[in-house]
Amino acid sequence: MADMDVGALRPPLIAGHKTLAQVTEDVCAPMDGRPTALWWIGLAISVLALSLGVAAVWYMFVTGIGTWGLNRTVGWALAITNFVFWIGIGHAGTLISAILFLLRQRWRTSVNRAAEAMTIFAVICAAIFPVIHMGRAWLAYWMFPVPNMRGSLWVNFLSPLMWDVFAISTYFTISLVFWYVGLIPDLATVRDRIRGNGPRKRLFSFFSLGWSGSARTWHHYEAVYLLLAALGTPLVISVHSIVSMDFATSLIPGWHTTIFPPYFVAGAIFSGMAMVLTLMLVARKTMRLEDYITLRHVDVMTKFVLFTGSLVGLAYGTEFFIAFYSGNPYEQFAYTNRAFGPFGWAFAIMVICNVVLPQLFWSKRVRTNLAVVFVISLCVNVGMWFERFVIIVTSLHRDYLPSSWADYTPTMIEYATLIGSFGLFFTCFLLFCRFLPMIAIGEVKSVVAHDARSTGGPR
Amino acid sequence: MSRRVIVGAFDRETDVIAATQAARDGGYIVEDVYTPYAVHGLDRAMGLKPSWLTWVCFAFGAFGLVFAVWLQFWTSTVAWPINVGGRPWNSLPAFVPIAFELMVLSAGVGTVLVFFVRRRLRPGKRCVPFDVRTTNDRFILVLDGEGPSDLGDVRRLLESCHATAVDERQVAAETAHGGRARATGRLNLGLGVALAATLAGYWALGVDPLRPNFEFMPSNMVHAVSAQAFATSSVLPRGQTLQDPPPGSIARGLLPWPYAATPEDAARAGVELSNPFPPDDPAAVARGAAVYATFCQVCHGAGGLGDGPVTTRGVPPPVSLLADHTRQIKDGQLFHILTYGQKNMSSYTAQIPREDRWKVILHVRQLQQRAMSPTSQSQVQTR
Amino acid sequence: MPTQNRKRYWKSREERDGAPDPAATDREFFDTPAVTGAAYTTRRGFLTAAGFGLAGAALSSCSRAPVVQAIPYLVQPEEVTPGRPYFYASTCGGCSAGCGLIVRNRDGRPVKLEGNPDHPASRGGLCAAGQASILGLYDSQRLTAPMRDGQRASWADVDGAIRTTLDDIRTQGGAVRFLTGTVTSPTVRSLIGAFLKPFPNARHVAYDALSTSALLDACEQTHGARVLPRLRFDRAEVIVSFDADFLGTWISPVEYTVGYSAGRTLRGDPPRLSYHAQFESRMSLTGGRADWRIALAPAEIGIVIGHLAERLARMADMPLAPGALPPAPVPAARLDELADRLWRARGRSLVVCASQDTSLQVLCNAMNHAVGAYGTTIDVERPSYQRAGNDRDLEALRDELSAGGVAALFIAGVNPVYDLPDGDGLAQALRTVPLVISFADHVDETSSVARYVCPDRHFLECWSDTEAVAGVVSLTQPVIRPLGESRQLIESLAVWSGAPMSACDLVRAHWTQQIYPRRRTDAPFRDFWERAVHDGVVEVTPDAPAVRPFGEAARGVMVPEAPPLPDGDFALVLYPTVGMLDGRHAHNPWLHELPDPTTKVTWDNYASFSPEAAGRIGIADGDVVRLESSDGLTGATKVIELSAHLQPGQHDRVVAVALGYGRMGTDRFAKVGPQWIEGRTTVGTNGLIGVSAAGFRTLANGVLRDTGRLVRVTKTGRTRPLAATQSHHMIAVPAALAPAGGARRPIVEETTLAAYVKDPTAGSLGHAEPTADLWPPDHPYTGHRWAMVVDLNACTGCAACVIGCQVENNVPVVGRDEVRRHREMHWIRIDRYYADGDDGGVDVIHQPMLCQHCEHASCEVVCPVLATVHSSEGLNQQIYNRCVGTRYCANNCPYKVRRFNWFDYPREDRLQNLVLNPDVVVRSRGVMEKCSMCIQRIQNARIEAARLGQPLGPNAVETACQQSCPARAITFGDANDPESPVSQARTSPRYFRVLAELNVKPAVGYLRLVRHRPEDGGERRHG
Repeated sequence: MADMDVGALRPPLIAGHKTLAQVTEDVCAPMDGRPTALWWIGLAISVLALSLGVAAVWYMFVTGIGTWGLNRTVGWALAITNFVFWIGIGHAGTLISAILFLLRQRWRTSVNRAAEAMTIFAVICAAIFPVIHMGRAWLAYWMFPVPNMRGSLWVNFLSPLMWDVFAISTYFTISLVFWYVGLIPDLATVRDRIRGNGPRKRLFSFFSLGWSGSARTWHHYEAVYLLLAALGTPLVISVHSIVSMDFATSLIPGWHTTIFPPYFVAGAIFSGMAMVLTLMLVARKTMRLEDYITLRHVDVMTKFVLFTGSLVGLAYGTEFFIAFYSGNPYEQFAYTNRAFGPFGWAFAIMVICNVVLPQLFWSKRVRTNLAVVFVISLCVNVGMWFERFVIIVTSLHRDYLPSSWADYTPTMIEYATLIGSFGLFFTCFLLFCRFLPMIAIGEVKSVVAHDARSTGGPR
Repeated sequence: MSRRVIVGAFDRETDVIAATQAARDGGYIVEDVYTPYAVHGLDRAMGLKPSWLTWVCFAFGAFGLVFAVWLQFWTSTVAWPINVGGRPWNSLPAFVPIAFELMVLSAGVGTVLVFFVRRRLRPGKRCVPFDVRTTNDRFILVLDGEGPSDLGDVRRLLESCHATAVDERQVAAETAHGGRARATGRLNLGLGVALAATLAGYWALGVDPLRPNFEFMPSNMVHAVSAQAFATSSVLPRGQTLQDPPPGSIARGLLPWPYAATPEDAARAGVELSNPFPPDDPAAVARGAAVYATFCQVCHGAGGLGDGPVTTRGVPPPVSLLADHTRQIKDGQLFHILTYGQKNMSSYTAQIPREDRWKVILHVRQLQQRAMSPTSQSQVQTR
Repeated sequence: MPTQNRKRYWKSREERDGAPDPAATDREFFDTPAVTGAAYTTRRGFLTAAGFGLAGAALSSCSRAPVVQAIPYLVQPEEVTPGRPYFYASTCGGCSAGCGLIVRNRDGRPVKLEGNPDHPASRGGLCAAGQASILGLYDSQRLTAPMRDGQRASWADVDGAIRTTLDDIRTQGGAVRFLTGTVTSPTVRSLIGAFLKPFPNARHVAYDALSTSALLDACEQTHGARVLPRLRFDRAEVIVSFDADFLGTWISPVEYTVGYSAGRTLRGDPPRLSYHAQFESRMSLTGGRADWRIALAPAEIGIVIGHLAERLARMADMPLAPGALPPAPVPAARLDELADRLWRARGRSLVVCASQDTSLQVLCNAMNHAVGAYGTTIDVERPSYQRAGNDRDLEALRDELSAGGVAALFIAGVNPVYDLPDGDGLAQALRTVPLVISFADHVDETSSVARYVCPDRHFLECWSDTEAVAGVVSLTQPVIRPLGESRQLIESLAVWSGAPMSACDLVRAHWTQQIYPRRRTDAPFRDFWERAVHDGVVEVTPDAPAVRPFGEAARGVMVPEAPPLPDGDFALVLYPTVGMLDGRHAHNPWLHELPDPTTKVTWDNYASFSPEAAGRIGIADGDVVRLESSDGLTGATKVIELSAHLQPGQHDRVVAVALGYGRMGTDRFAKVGPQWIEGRTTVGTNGLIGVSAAGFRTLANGVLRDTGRLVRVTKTGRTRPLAATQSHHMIAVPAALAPAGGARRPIVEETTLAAYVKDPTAGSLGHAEPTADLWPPDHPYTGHRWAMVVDLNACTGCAACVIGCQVENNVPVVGRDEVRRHREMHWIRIDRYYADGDDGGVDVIHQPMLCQHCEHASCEVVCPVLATVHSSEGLNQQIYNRCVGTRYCANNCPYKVRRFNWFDYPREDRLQNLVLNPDVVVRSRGVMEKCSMCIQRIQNARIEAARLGQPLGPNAVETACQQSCPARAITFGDANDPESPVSQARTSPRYFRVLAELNVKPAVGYLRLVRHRPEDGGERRHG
């Protein structure tokens, strides 16, 4: 789809001078044949974690939300932390598929499918938490402005939580549609690879909507894809801005900060990129996709991480400066307490993982050393989780009246729920790797063709 | 019926683009081109106009935006205006996020659906490719084979553009109508089945109107935990919540009335007591009338003639309040009667509080006065 | 079918067969009860069902509505209109102070106790314990049938047996002893006397578990009558208190608080503010209020008394020589100044002392005499009868018992085996007494060793009377038909003396003979009686014992020698808490969960140390320490182990431990509150709530002492964190780093009298609310607009409001573990802040904190489902049924006054549920709740006004917290009505709002605290 000839000067995005048929073969290889032992092990662990989480949530439902470590002062903690964390993870997918598409970044084609899938699974994980953290989750449907017979009874459109409801559901829907639209031609490809008329064939033909590769369809398809990308870009920014408004519009010192929207968006992309890196590095090894996810991809993404990481660091600094500059005693205390209070350790983790470590990416040697990149990307994930934890808990646990100050320690139920969300994510992702083309075949082909054209590939 | 088409297969996008261009220049009608990925320049070669879906997207977006703003404005200022943190009814700035989200949602989903419908993409649609490899690595150019065209020319033309194979096929003209008919047929069937299932379920469950309904989460404040006045009680004497006051106890404002239920005391009350409320106290009189209408009218009748509704149902009619001897009864004695009852009339201690008893006496006096003046007789009746 | 009803009624096992059975109790208390009166699944039932899995949950989460029956009255009594409250006047039996009660009834049962404004002593005040005592009526472990040798018996058997035994004793002339607490009821007193008359060797011994014997003895020495003088704090302008916690627990706190705060309303010109100096060892509620507070070791207090007495004697040239005194531990200049203040305020000053040293009490009397307190601030002609205990008699009786010379012992209203130092020994002695009859209404330490237990009734089921203050006789009338077969003490006595009579007749008869003759009106007896029953209290001419004027008695009095503390040892101070007092309320979960006014600790007693001392011996909050002390007399060592608590303002060499804990039967609370994986039990390692410290008391030389024991403190290495609703050393940020927001915050405003006189607005932190407003004023408040003002100067922090609110609004009890997790549910809490007082002392400030009902409520904006919105009358309303429990509102509340239902709290005790206020929903799990400004009371007032066709008066609505506040610190009303008291208060120069700068515009405001200060300190901040 990218039209200009940037590739000419660069090494080809797809290594190994693939032919179109090879591309199809390579990408579809993991899908037929028996799954590897590695895959089975991964799935087993994920499902185990998932069921642990399900058990924890179930126990919480029947016993009461008191089985979490919350109290009258700290009303939100791990659940909302996880929520923001997962939403953040999701953002990278949309970024890669939408923003980079608009920016004509052709290297995205190798990773965008997986990234979009990651988005969807992450948003699913995220969406679970606002629901289960409610004291009466069985009434969650009250959050939607459904016409009802309880007199004239509507919802509160002033509440940031209400904005969340719309933001998250929109985000999920659009991501899903975007992903699926991108998937259709590849589904057709897979469909046509399958011999015989088994259930798998029927399944794929059902979902490929009778795609025939007609140029007329491609013609409109392109338009639709472009439009979705154009919509997705402001959407992804709006979503995390709205999430950040949950805090920014409140009056709790440490939450009530105007910098939050950009700060959160940057953080989201940061964490998301890190997660993409983590997954891709694993995938290219285990699924032998080295030719498609090349060092160049890794290089670009590490640069992304470096950039956004520095943005986040800047945001941290700004927060502290404003607190000091505001002369507001509560604000000042909130930030001193954040850094030196009982949760200082969490703050330290956050700064080291999010600001210090990514700076290593300035050196090319680090960027090309996959092991190091992998470790750092993991650290960033951890750090970003702690960022949300720090923002939420340290701001709440000591706000205005010292008489109400309290501390917070998570219960095992909460930990189990967190583990469960990871279980859910990886279960979905592993199934996805196994049953769907993990790389956008069609788009890669266009890139291959482009490389061929620009670098005189095969024939 | 079926049509004849000419199919050319290519291995490289550049070739197929060239071939398409050439075919169009050669005056052939390009039915379609099938490619494994979106080939750029092909649309130009085929002479396709730019997609109009952009405008669809815009329209849906506009709709979403307008709807969202209207919904929020209407619910929070018209349908259910309620004071939330002192904010004004119409807090427009707060409506922006949701307006934006709904705009995006409607635009995105709408565009895709229109795209599907327009290009006839639907789940389960069967696809008969000219070559299974079109979705893999082969480019297929399909020319309209009708009309005056010699296969040889075409073949020569295409092969000049490195076509790997060229031949002609008969294709069943895909009639949009047929497809749609099938779809509607399936839809109707589905709906029919659903309807039947519902009816069957309804019949199977068998609804008993006397049976209480189901409650969703009865543990959520559906039933009072505190003892309700008329409820049974598993822990209180007599198994009921309502208990009698202990003998001898005196509640605030209810000092025992120092007159026994004897004719002598009734007379004494008549002598010793007088109505604490003056007859010209409008509030008291009004209250008295209300109480009379509630408790007395059924027997004594609106006008106090002792012709209340129950008397027509076989209850022995009470004496008229307008009769001379009733007019002679003193206020205190009337109060005694209200308190302890008399003949058929039972005690009204529990129903009518003390001050109300005095007030209702005021009303009775009024009835009697009205009865004296014939002019107002009618009013009394009509009341 | 009465029998069946009765069977239904006996729901707890020990009520049925008389044997206390913890297992049964647990079952009874914490699972769905055996009686299945209700058709619907209880919430706990839902949980258990859900536990079985999805199916179970689905079933119980969606079940058929029950078919409920309605049973009306056969003959409806005049008082009761079903569903409408009606009221009785009565007298509180929570302690011997005998405050006036207004009992609110519903459907023939009491649901709330409030203060009786017509009572001349308590004046509408009622303490926390008093208000909570209604729960005792609905206590399913209360004994409601007689017991014989621990087995349930019938009255007939018991009476027969007792009467025969008594006949034998009468003929043989055996010693009969009647052991009671102070009997404030003239009827009961005379009936006991009458009952004992036929016995040749009979004595009525009265003692107070919280003894003030020395005070009475001193009065006997100096005034010739062993009475408790009535203290008139309302008349005092200079108050010096030696260790007397008169606002918290000493003798009659409500009465004293009423008077005290009357002396500190800043009304008049110059503004009236009595000066209050407090010398004490621990940080007491009263000490926290003092203008000048000095922490002294128990022994030092005597020395200071001596010094002060000397000075005053010199001024009044009285012959007084308190002996050669060691130098005072207080700067002499300050003592001079104090003496001078007392002297200048002659006739308007008052010295009170809680010491159990008769000589010190005599010295205090001498001081009071010197400053002319008698006849003005102290009334001996019209004394109080709230304390009449005599420890000398008690000691004698104990010796008699151990000698085995007692034939019959009646024990009513006291629990000697628990109260007295050598409980076990006493229990042994009691077992040897042929006839021991206890009137206890619970199986307690004493009644479990008694031969017969003839349970007395709860005071709300009783006919009785009280003469708390000479000439003020209040009546106790039953407000509910007795639950069960218990029998009043006087009825039992009447039966045993062969003339059975109902309690009502007994009281009436006594009034005809004794009280009526003292009447001041000439009404016939019937009217007199009915008026008395109706009003609850009647003033008659006092018949106090004659007293002689203060004589030379004090001349030779010496201050007792105070041996210096051996190094490493601590002086032990035992004290009662506001909730438990001497332990009589140990069965009351409300009072267990009531945070101690000063320490804010719940569900436990603990060893308090000053932070310095703690640092010295290296203990921190929650460390379990071992207190060891050897009895001076017997030489036996007593040991208890308690969690440590660090208490600023306490004396360095003092360890303070609360009495009244570790009561038998408190194991019933083992499972109070939610039960879940990580939940912990409420009881301690001993299976009880707290540890009994009674072993450390001493009963010798005619006085029962709570202070003076030396204890050795050792660490056990274990820790057991205390469940405090507020901790005072949570600034973990290095002080250097947290200058702005840390220790000092502009939350409580305070100033000094001097500054206040100069400028009434002194001490204001000048938080002018921002005037610029983003929004147009869209919401005019026409009609009523409810508002509240709390006078910090009046508030003593006694926590009466907390219980008042809990009873009124069905606030659940959550148990120790939940409180430890900061999940207490009280809608109104009392924030306690410390500040550095002058000369190194510590100031305490109490700030009641409840929902501020902000006009720009930050909680309302963030609720997604509009479950909390603003009413047209300015109330911030919480709609429980709409709440889905996001807790966003609580997060966003700057005052943190919202409370969340983390679990379904146990409501399975159907008897206890009778206390629930039917006007208020019992919130279920997952719902936010908070102060509603007693919306139900507003509605009731509105309905009543409508019924009477009147407008809602300025004082028509009283919130629960306001009604019973002894200090009258809370004002509530319509801010739109310029005449209403609340509007007046809002115009006060002392008026301020907490966190006003946030521009949330609270409807609740506060009046600044004003204190005497030697130097003009100006305004100070707290945090």
